[in-house]
Amino acid sequence: MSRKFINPLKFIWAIALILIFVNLIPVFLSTDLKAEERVGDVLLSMTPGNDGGAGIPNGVTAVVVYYRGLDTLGEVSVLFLVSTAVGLFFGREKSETKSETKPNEIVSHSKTLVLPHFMLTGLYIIFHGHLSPGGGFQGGVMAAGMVLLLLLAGDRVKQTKALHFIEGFAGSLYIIVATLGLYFGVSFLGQYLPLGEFNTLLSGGILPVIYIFVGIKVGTEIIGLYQNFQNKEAEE
Amino acid sequence: MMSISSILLMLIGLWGAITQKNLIKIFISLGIAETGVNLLFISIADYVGKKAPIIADPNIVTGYADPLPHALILTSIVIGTAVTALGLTFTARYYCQKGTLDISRMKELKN
Repeated sequence: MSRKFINPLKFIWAIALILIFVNLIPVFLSTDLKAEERVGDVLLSMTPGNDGGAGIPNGVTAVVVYYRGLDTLGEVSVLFLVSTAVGLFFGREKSETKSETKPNEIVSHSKTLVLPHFMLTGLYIIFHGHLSPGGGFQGGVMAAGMVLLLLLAGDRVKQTKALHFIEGFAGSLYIIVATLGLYFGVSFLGQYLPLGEFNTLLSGGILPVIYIFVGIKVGTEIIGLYQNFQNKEAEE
Repeated sequence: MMSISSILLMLIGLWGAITQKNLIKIFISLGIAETGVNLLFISIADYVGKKAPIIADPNIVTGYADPLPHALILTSIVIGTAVTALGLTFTARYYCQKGTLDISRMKELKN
């Protein structure tokens, strides 16, 4: 009977790594850093509009759209790339497998009741992204959940070309609005619209505008992803 | 405590990604590991007694949680969605071609 040889170095490495990791945990938990040393507190003090800050109440949105706006552009590009890749891999050939179950009766009857609320909640979260928790990504995914419900109820989004046009248009408008900052403001994605009154809906300059475009783009991309998966499953 | 449990969740996900044979289970494990990482970042940002970083009064900017990890995790969640969607796409394509999801039967690249 031959037993498999187990390298004892593996256990030594495992124990060493665990010991290193346990020692690192207090670093994550330490709270006694000074306020000037924590980047988050500096960002928070800049968020209401002092010293060239964002001018909006929501600190997370200020970081995502204003201080790291270029990063968000890259993130949206990654999502666009994945949406394109899924469409490329799923769109070509039709599957032989048909869907065996009919759509759920409850879903197909209650969709008209639920859909407006999905849409309204998603739009509310997109439009109030600079005032309250939420924003373009979250609201876009919520509004796209509406279409997931439609697909579960057996319907299809027929106007896929219009969907892709809206998606590309929103992405282009994001870049155009960001580029106009070079002419009217100081930099790419810089602030050039008036800030308005703090903590109202029409405030924050370009930040809510950009987040609305992000919301439209993310929503349409998630709809495209759902549709492609459904396409593969239940094509006749 | 929350950071330790989130590290444990991440390790559970990595263990699943290493040991499972089914491709879909591997992607679910990756999702669990990603959730662990996200919770770790949120546990760094959030302390007892701090409020969510939404500033009501522009003159008072202390007492709020750190907004930076939240923003990073927002990025991370979106990228995780993208990775899961692309992985499941490849999985579905592979299943259509070969009729199996077992990674121990994938012999195409072995000689």
